[in-house]
Amino acid sequence: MRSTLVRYKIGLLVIGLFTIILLVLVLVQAHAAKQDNETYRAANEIVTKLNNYNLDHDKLPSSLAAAHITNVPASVSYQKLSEGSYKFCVTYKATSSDFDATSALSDVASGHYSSPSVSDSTEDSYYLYLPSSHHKGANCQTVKSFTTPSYDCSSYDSYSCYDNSTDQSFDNSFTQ
Amino acid sequence: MDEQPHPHHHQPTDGGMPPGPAQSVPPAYGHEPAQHAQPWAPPHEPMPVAQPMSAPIEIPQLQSGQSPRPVPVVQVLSPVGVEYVFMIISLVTAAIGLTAALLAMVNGKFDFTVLAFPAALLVTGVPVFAFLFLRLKKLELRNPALKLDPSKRRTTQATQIISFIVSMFTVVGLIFAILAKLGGQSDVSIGKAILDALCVLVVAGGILAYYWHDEHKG
Repeated sequence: MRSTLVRYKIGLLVIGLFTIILLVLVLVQAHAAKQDNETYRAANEIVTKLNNYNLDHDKLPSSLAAAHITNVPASVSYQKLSEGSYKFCVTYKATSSDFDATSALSDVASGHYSSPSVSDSTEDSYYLYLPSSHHKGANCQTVKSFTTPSYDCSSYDSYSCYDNSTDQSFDNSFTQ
Repeated sequence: MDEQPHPHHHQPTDGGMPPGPAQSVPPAYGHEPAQHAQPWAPPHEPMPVAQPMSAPIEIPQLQSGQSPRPVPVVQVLSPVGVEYVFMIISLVTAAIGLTAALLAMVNGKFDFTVLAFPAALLVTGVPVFAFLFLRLKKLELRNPALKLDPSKRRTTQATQIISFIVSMFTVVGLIFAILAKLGGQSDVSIGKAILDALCVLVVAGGILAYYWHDEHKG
């Protein structure tokens, strides 16, 4: 009887040790995860304000302060690269992926093996969007501004364009 | 055990009503002989009810001093059976946590957002399961008849069935993933699919193997 119970106790001890290791692993990362969540929330607000400024003013601000965006954490940075593009970086303390371990269980049983990955936010995009998954360290996006062009080549004939800002038409060869 | 028939209880064997005190029982509708059928009555007249239409069936009288036989209408678990149900719930909780954690680690995900929920499942499930498992195992070793407790057997058999279904569909999912890969419908690596399936099979298959062996070792 005693030997049978000892065998079960050893098995339970192994699972218990695994649980403790997992708990420690989670607790160690909790502080960094909290700071990253605060960073993400602040960065998300900045992204909304920046996109709104871009839409309202049809141009990029020279800095976040120029767009009246205050209380910017040190982990968020904005750099205007040209009149039509800028770089937006958010620095995180830990990696966060969109892998859902519990839903992966049902995926395995249904054969839908997904391969989620942390989104690569270093690629160029036309709209600033902050993904919830991120790498540890700086996550930068280079955004090409989506400001509307000041000239319109579609509403005129195929040989000339119309400049909205000056109310003048010009030869289409400039844009081709 | 509450589930075992009480000496004074009547257990219906065919789903019918148990006999009560001696009384005249009319035959069931649809089974009465044609020669005893009531003559047709006009619709405005009330139909006679509860009148014997054939010879009454005699049921032996209870002896004096005996109370009418109670009829079990609610199936309850035995006290130990409730503990088995608690143990299985905590086992399922811990098993989901363990499998989710293994799946995350196999996929190289060690971050807080991924591991927090599996850790919560394990921290809750493992101590409760360990306590109840050891307690019930001690009781079983002291009293081997407890293994035949209907509540316990129903719970462990349900666990076997569920873990069998999970294991079976994991194998189905793995084969489907391999076929989808061969057919170019999926870009997931077969090695990763096998590892993922192994995580589920180790836990669900382990539970199935333990309870299968426990029930068949006599």
